[in-house]
Amino acid sequence: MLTAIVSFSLRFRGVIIALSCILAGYGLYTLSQAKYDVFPEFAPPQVVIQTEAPGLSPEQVEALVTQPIENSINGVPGIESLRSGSIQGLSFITVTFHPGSDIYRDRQVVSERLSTIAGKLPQGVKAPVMTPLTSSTSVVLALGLTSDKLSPMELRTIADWTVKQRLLSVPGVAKVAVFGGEVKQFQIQVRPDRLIKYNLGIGDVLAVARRATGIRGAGFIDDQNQRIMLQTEGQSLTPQQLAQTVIVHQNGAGVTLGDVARVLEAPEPPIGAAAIMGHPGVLLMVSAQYGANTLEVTQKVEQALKGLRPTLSAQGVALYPDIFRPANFILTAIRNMESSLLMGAGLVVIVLLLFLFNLRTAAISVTAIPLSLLTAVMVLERLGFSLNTLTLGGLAIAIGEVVDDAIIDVENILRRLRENRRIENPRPAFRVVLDASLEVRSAVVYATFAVAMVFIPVLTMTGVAGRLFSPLGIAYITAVLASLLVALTVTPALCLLILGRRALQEKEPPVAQWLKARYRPLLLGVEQHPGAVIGGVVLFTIAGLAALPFIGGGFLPELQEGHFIVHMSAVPGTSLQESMRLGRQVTFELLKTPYIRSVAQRAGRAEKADDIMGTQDSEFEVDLKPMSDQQAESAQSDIRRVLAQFPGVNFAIKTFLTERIEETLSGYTASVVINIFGNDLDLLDRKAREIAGILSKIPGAADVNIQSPPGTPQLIVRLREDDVKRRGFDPVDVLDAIQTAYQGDVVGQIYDGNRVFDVSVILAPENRKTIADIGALPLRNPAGTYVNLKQLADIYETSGRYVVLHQGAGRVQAVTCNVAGRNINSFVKQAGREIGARVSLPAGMYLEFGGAAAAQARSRRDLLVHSLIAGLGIIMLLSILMKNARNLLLVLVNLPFALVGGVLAVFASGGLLSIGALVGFVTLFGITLRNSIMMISHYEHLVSIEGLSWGPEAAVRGASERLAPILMTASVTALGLLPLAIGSGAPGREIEGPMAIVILGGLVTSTALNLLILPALALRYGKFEKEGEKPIGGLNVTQS
Amino acid sequence: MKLNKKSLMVVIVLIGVSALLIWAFMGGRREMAKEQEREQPVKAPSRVSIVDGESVVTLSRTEELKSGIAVAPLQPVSHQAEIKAYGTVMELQNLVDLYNSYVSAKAQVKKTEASLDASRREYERLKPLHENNRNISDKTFQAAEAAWRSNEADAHAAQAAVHAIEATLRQRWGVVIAGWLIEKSPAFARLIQQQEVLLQTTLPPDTHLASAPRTAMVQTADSKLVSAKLVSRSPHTDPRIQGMGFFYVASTQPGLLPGMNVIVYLQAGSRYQGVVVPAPAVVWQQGKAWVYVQKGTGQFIRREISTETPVKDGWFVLKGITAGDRIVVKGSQLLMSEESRSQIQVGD
Repeated sequence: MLTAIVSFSLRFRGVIIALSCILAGYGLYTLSQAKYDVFPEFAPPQVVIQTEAPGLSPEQVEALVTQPIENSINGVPGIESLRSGSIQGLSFITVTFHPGSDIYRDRQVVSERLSTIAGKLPQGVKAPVMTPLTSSTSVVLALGLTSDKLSPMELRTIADWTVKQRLLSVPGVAKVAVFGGEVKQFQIQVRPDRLIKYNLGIGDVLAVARRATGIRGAGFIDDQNQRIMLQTEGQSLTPQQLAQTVIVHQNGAGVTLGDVARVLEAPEPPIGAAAIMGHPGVLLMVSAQYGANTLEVTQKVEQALKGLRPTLSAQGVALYPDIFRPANFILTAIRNMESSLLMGAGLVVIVLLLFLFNLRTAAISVTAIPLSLLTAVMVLERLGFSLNTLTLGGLAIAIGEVVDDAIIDVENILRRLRENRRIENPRPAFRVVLDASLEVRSAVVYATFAVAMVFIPVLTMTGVAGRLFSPLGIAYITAVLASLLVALTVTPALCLLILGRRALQEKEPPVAQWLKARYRPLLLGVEQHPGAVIGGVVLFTIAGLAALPFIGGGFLPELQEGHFIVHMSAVPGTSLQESMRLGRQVTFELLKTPYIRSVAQRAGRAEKADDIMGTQDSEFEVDLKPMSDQQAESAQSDIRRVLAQFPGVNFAIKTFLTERIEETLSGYTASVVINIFGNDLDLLDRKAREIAGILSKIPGAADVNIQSPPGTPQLIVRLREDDVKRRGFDPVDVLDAIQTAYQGDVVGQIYDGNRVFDVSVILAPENRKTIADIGALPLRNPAGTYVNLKQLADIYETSGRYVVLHQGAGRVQAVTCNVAGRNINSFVKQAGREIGARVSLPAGMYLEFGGAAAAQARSRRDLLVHSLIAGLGIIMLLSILMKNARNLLLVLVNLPFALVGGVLAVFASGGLLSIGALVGFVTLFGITLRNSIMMISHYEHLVSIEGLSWGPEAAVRGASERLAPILMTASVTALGLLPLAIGSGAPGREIEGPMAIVILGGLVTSTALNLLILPALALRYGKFEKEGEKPIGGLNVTQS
Repeated sequence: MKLNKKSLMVVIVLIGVSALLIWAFMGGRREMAKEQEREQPVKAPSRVSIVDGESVVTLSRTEELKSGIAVAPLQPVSHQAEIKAYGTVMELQNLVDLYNSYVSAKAQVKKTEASLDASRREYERLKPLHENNRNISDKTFQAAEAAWRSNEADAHAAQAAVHAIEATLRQRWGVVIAGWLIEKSPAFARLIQQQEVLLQTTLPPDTHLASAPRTAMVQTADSKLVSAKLVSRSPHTDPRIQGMGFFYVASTQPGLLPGMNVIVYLQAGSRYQGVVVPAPAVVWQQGKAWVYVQKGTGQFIRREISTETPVKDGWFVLKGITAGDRIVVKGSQLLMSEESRSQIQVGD
């Protein structure tokens, strides 16, 4: 098949070259249209369901809202985990599906289940909604509005009805969450004393208000000629009109809503607040749709904002369009990545010119790079991957192999052409080029597939790591396969076209000559002291292994995003007002530091927002001025110092992407997590405390924590059944009245143009300010008698739960801890034993051990299994190629030594084995494998085809012939990655930096191994036989 | 020797490389430790200590200033509880009707008494004549006796009618107003002449008073406050409200017309000396109310207060804190949060 492809390419070289030009052109076009991002989509298929349950306590939300929804969702095929939280007024459920499942289908199935449950939820609870599907990073822009002229309510109305609506119409925007300001409502603020005065109940007011705002359709009149529409008007549209609505006629006069209540525009009870640069304002978080191009969406949103700016400033609204702009980091990261790639490419060209010392051959080899990479880009684009730091990284590490593919080809063709010129009856160039291409090709094909197989563990990595790094693997494999294709088609065609008819330089390139002249004696020297050399290698390998214990794992490096998200949390129950007050102080202190450009605070939550935060939690968007990495680090220390001076709250500083990734990791980051499942919340708490007590006494336990926040102040109103009956009340009526009084009851909507505002009935603010007021709430029974709430109910203050958590639709309480100074498995075993012996769990309660350690162990096991499969595959592939167990063993035995350089590089950079570094090892493994295969194949070729007898002479000749390609591949890869390694901490290079360092370190040992040790070992232990004696070698197999 | 030199070189190079590696490792470790620290939540050391069983939060001056905690001394306040009651301006037609009946009953008594007197005298005149040899006929004597007895019964009946009206008056309007009416007191005249209005005032259902205060303040329909004088306990309650009732009189106002429902403020109970804790100073935890008292520089002690006596914008407190104590009026929640800060999870 290879023969057919190569000969076709040679025969129709014009077509092939034209095709490759088209390919390059289309590749460039794709590149200009490509979707850029920092990371691939890393979130697993997830559906988040939020249900607003105004006024319900966490326990009520859990029992009445969360549990029924969970029950209906449970059993949907493909669910991996089901977690939920119930806080005051909100239920949020996160359903995570198996990776690889279609998110749209998952949403469809969940949506079907939700449609059946919506009608069964308690009155007043809104329908459950799935939050819009957004990209993994979600936020594309945070913008702020403030105004000195407008009231918070007017500002919020503009944000909700002008800015938000405009932004939602921008293609690619999934949702806009609005924090802060005051949501306008028409409120009927009932005054209890007036109710008594006019002998009315709150229910009367509700009924009348409902009727006053009702809208009815009217139909139409059909006559012989026309259909005439009917429209009825008369609904109250202003507070004044509403206030004049008559409730009842008494003594000949009408008692109106205005008599018993104040009717006015007032703010809805808030769930969130925001401040920009310390001034109260409105913060809008714009999220992009799933799979949208962040840069493009950002640009379009900014265009829309530009259009809005004149109207906004005319109304006295100041717009802060760049509170947070993730596109900045994407641009910097991609730019850095691209500059690294370009710089690398430039260095590659120089290296090729130096080594080949021939413009033509260098040009042919260089052509392979853009062609292969652009092909890879096109494939990635078709597969739906964005161009991100990881796919670009994959391309960067592929450059070496891409060039190697071409060079092997070009070199062999050049050599055979030269030889052909020397013989008397030169064969046609076509035939020579075809044979020369095929001669090396089969080994290259096997080597390429082997290298692709090396990446199998990377492609099959589970979790976020897998989703982050598999695109890198795919980019790498695509580039390498594309390069194989190019080497099979374009390179021979170009060689025939450019080299076929020209006079060829007979002399070897000076660099190669110079190198070979020095390499020979070195290699001979090595071969003369095999024992010492092998001993040295073993020692060196042991030294590398000795460094292993000092190497620790880490998941994500610090990202230099130029933006921090500062979390501030006070004890649950802290009011929005207090959170904002402290936030203002924090903001002013932060703005005093010289590094910070802007600070915006948001507290609490917004409808359909990504984060579920209580009123005690705030997030600050802290944007830095442009600065160097060093400054950014000291900026963070400064910020930490400033924040540590605020009592009563804890802060965490994160970067946006780190936070997003951590959020998708879901669950606790502690190494041991004990989940306690059960029905009784108090019992769960008690058992959790017992378990925490036992854990903290086990040696090695550190940071033992019960994962439930302190209680939040609560006022319990417990109806006394007897009193309720005796006084002629219906319990539900009493509860309704309390809800109306303190939460407000939305009775209708008022339309103002295209804007819709709720009309709600609520107690006047002065009557719901203090705890004492609630007992004095007057209630009217059907007989017209008034009683105060405290006559019907016991009212007492207590401490309540802030949140009720579920896992797998069951109540859960978690105890987490870390383990220091001992093996985690033995710790978990001991903990299990001691807890089993000392904690008695009642029926229905059970424990589950989990945690990061378990998850890591699982992913390590997965990785090991996949690596084993890949390893077996590689061995089988090699056995087809080599058919000689000894040579196969030679290839394999060398690998550990090749990796030692990488280990030492990791050690020298602080000993942190990030996943990037792990991928570096994989790449290194691939490069070494490929070089070893090529070397051994070349020996086999020399012996079996060219008829040399195996001995020092053959070994040295083979090695010298491979010297240039190996050195070239190594230096091309090294130089291509050098800019990445040097700017390791810079934006966009944080993940590939460690990878590049590992590869660079490893290349040193790997190259030394391939050039010095492998020939020596091959000479001693290798087994190469001439063709006549016993046909061996992959070359023959494929050629026949 | 040559070999030795060579090996020496190799050894030196190896040592150099190892040293370099280890140095780089240490540097990298330091950098990593810093990075790891940066990833940790900012958790300042706890500022809470327990002194004499009370938890004390200690802040430096800068921390106090930066977090905007404000402290204010408590002023001594004398306080008397005030009850908000529901008043109705009484329609007095019934009272006037009763008065009319009373007056005519009284007249009837007089009339019957006059008749009784006349017939008694007639009887007493005829009696000796009849006894003395029957100077008058038996018939005449018996007729006079019957007239006397009949007039006596009429007089009793008229008196009973007066008593009945008095009883009705007392039942409906109380002893005091009945007294006014019987005694034709000027207070009653002022009511009848509409110089004053009568207010039936009903306490909220679950409020009890041993005796009503002598004066009260009435909020008129036009939101003016006028003073009212206690008349008496009301003999019945407002059926809608079911609380204790009292009658007050107030001078006639445009906003106090018969039939109007108004709010009446009653001062009740004894007057106490204490302090008023403003609402923003109070935080709730574990079902109790607390304030933070500043002791010394930057030391804040949490004290429980009683919230039995709510007053406008706060609570009147007798025990636990005294006038002159400096309490935190802004940032109490922050201090409370500091106490349980170790349990606060951030950024999860």
